Amino acid sequence: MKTRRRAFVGPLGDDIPSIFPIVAGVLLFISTMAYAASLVAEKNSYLEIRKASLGLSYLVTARGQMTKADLKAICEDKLEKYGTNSRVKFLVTLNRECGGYVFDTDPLAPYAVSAAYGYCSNLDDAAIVGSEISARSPVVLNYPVAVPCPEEESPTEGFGMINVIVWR
Amino acid sequence: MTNARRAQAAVFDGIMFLLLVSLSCTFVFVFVSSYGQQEDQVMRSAYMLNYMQSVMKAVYFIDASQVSGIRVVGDAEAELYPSLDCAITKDYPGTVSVSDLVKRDIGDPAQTHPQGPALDDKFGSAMSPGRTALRCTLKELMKPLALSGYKYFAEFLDQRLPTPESPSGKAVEQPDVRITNSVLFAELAKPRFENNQLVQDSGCELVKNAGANLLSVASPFRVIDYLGGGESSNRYIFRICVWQSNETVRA
Repeated sequence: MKTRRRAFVGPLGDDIPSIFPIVAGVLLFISTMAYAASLVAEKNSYLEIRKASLGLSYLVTARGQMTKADLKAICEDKLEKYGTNSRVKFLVTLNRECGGYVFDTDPLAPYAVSAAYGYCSNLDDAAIVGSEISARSPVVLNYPVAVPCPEEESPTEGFGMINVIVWR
Repeated sequence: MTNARRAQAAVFDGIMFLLLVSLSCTFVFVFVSSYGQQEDQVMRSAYMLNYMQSVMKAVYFIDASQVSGIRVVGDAEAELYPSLDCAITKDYPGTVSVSDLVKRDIGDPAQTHPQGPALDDKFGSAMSPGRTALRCTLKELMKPLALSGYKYFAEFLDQRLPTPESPSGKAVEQPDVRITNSVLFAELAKPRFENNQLVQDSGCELVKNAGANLLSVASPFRVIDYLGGGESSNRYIFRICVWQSNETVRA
């Protein structure tokens, strides 16, 4: 009888040891759900950017050839609207590679609009900064296209490359 | 029930709750780790297909004279692209595109090609380097994929002659060299004689049967029948397929 009384700490005191695993379980569950929700949101955002980049790509590669004027027309007519509706920032550059494709070792080369034959973006020119875009981990897609070659005004078509760069 | 036993039961319930929470957290992590993977895979395939479609479209516009500057550099490239001399397209005027040359190359008359048309750089017995122009063009256009470990195969299928091996049509003969950067499948798809008949397997079908994860795009390719006075056309399919490969070159 005495032993039983020693073990008895009271109606609340008796349940105290069980509170620890319950609190730990609740905390573990809440933190897991919060972490999972943030991961899912991050992945959804990435997938939305990829989806937007594919949508922009379909618009810009609808034809197999492209001139600076074509890009300008499609930019104002379709690309800017699509980019704004998809809530993404984008940069589409068109490069002439008449002698064949040479891959630049400079990681900022795809964002250099000054070196491009033509470009389109839903940002102002001053806002297009290669290092800043690169820091946002953009989705970059490349597509071959026929462009005027060997000169910009040539009636003949040669190798060109379209870079579609999308970020948030 | 005694008080001591009631306390033990409460601890047991707490531990069981913790175990259940741990189990459900494991399920949540398993779900999160695989979340979006299939969608991502689908979008990667969509990019590849769009890239290949862009290649096909570009072939229709790029002028034959513009591919004359493409060079084969080094022994490794020479093994991938044997006997490739793009300079032979240099003197074609700006109005002739790569696809024009290919159409002329495939439009061989029956007198010179009794076994059927061939992609052999000739229209009948006259020179028409369609195959070379296409090889040079694809060497360049497929460069980003080739550098990423992909191999490609381009071929033309005659829709009038479907075979059990290639239901879309019989592959047009490409003697000596094939339009591919795969040494292995270029060798496997070489034309051969069986029962006095010239047989050439479709390269894409061979790759598919070898179990590779193949991506393929195709488009109709009409070739004027010159014997019919240019009034009728023969229906072909222009097909490009790519697959990931660990095939290496010795050089």
